[in-house]
Amino acid sequence: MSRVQTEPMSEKEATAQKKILWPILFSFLGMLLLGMFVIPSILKSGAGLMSPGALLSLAIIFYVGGSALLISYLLRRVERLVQVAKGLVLVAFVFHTGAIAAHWMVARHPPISNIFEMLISFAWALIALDYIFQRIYKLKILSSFSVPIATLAVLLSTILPTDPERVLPPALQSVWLYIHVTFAIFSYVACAIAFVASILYLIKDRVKLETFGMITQALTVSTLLGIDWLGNADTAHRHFNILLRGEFFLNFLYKGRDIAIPEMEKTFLAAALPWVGTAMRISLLVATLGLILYLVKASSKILIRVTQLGFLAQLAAVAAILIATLNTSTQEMIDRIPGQILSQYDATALAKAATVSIKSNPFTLAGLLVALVTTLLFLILNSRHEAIVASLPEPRLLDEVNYKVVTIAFPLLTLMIATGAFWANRTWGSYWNWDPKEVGALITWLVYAAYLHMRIVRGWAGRRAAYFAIIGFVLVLFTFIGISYLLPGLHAYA
Amino acid sequence: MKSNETHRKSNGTAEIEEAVIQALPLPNSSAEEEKKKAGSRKDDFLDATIRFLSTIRLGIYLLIILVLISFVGTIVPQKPNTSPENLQRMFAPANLVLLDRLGLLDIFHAWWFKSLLTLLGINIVFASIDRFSNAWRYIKRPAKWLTEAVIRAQHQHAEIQIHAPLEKAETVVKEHMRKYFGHPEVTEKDGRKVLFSQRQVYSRLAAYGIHLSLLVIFAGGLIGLEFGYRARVSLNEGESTTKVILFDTTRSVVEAAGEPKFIEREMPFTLLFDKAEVVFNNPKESSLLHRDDIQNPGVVKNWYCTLSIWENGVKQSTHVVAVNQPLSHRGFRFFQSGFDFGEGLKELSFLVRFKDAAGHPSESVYKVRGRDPFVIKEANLVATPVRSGIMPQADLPFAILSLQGKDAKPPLQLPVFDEATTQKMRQAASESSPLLRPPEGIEIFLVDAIPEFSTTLQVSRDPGVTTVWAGCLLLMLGLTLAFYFSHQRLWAMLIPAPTGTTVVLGGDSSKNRSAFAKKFQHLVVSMGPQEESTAPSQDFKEN
Repeated sequence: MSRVQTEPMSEKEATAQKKILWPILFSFLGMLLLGMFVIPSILKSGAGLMSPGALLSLAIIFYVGGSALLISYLLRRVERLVQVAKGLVLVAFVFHTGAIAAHWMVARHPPISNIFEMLISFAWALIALDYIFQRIYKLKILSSFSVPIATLAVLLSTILPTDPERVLPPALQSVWLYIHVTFAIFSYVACAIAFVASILYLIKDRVKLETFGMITQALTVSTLLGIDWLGNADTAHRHFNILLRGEFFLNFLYKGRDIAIPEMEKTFLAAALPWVGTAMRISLLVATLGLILYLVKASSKILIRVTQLGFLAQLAAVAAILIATLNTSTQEMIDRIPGQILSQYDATALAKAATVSIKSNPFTLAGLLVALVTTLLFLILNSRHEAIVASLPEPRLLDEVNYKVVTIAFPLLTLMIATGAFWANRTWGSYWNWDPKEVGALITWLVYAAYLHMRIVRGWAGRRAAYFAIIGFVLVLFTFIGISYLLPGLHAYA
Repeated sequence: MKSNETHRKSNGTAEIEEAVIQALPLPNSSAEEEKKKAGSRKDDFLDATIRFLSTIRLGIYLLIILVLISFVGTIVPQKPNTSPENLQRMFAPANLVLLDRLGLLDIFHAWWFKSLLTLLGINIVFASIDRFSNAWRYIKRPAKWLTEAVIRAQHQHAEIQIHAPLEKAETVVKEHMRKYFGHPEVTEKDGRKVLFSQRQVYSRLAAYGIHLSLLVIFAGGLIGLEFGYRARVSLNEGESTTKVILFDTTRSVVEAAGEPKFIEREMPFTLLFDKAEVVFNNPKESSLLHRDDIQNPGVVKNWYCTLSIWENGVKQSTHVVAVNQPLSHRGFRFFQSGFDFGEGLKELSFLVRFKDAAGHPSESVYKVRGRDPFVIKEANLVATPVRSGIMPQADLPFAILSLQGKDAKPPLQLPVFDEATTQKMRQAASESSPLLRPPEGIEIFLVDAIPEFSTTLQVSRDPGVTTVWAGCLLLMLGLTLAFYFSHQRLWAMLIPAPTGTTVVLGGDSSKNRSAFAKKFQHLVVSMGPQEESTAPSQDFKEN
């Protein structure tokens, strides 16, 4: 009797081990490679292992490993994967906490005063709240999305300027800064969780794969067009250079304030990078083609091929940006600026003050990475649709999580806006200035208010609520990151 | 409304029927609106308008329109946040004129935007009035009696048997209900008893609190617009004023004639700028300041301006104004907004090198305030800084010293700079344009200079601010009530049965039904043997 029982068990175990062997091996290899790249650079920098940067780099290694495992959990539903991933995320979280504490000590203020600090705090709060939600709702699958989002946030933070010793300008030296930003971070995290629950709901509710594909393509097209419109102006102030001319212009990154160029002109003082424009133009064309094919309802085989092609093109674009920025010297960039523009500036001073770095256009890279990861997740969803749908919890639980989290997010958003207004009134003498970031927050608030009205009065639940929460989170991202780079106002420093 | 009145007139059963209506979930509101629409065809125009204004659909459409407009407002640079020069750089002149005509360059102050906000306010008022009576009924006239069928139709319901006569069963049920839901009220009819208890009934009013709070915030904003203003005042050290200059919001973005207009307002007191000080993050070694430095928020720790308030020639108070540290007096608030060099230098230090007839060198430093004359003892000269300041282009402090000797010769007007600059200038000076030099045997340089400062203060007078904060507090209170409290009601009907008493339990919660279901199950289990307990319905939808 016992033999009969143990044999199939061990067989099952063996297949399970076989199933998780590759993901684990793959992610550990990835971590090793990342470590080989990161650890020498930490040692070379001489800042020591306890410096904020080093701790954050270590956290990234483990987050990437944990995220890879959690994403592969979508494909291979073996509990052991989650256990290993949990361990990795825990280690990463410890390093992450250390990095935040170290940064706090060096900067002598809580790490929430600029976008870099907010991103690492956002990621930290997301991991912490994800853990709490795991405890309450036992939704393991939630982590497969929230941990990668946190990882992406930490990764993005590394391309932002970080200067823990930067002294806050007088206007920011207020306790209200911390109150205001803490509410912002927690409300954004809650919005992110509602977003993840909504996506899962739509998957579970068997929204057609074509719809997800169409959304992915639309996101890619709009991201690329957004980059092209707002972040890719040439020296003649012309926009849409990827679309019209196949060129991508990178701005310089300026060190200190050695060079007197007005902020306005800095955004237009740019040079085209080789290959990047072409790669991005191809991604844009493929994504547009994909979007059109989805709209005319082409056969699913063609659609998937086009999406895969688009993914490769995006990957090539990201690689091209990274390679081009690493391989281009400042002088080469300056030489590419048209003569009549360059003659207005002191070229030697420019060469001294400017460097070539992707950090000068963080929004562009962030947009590309978000589109890339979204496309990847869609392709994974496509390849294992049935298995993923089967393993998701009941739709009404996901719907409940969505609503519950919005009821947390909305009061926090309100508090964020109210404390921001209170602080602005104390500092600038008016509580509302219609500054772009304020308006962005107001738009987000109005959208969630509409969501709550529809839900409470009209009983909108399920899909429609899920779409609402998704739109809400897109607006949160736009307000949080987009506006700061594209439309600086009072919040220009954050 | 009308149907309710007819119910009230016919006594007895009406009460119960109303209770039933109350206890059952509200009818589908879209159906309700449909019905209203159908009825409105017969009604007069005013009635139809009021009905339209009180629909939630209008509110949602307004929210969507406001979102879209605000979105345009974040994408298109707005006049109050962007200088005319930048706008002119961003748009071709023709486009700029077009955008301005369309009001897209100042969306949030355009009449049509304000009209939309007003419409939203009206919508909130009408929609709230329309629905308030419904919510108020829960508080004013709770449904204490329900028929057995209605209790059994509740979202949560159960039946238990208690092997005791009705009176005794009542005490048992009462005790349990009190523990879970608060003290029950008893209604008796036809030998049956209904025990009713409820919790957090006031959460029914949360939505009205929230909407009222928005109106309060709007009202605060309107008070500010009507009775308040934003202005600025610029002062040099030592200056005083009673006037402020209003912000010009009408300034044209297109024409060169878009010069700011200066509209002045009188304050009921005099503001005197006593003195200023700038504190750096890393203290400066020399006081030879640079304009860039004192204006760079990354370098400066804070700018401190000592200001005093005078009324009828009597000093009322003295304040130090800095960033995040405004001055508040009689509803006027002054904020640090700009800090710059003023006209002259308020403290000067001169280095005097002297060589006597025998060739012995000596050196001394004279520290002078403002334009006070001082005596250079070594050379028997009276020196007066007749002018001093910062040369605008070169960012260079200078002083013009009038040197008067013992003799009756006219005084020498000598420009004085720091040593390095003086040497440079002497090298650059040619035969044809010689530089003025001090008398033989003496050299004078500027070694230290503290400029007079000027400050620009933003003035804000906004009597609506307190109202806005009150609205915000009410809003938070309303949101807390709305999301974290729910109106829970429980009915227990005691029916005499051959073996004792049958208890029919039913209850529902306005929100968070899953938590209510758990509590209900606990109550049922704790009460004793149950004959039939239905699992909570599968409907988790929040209402």
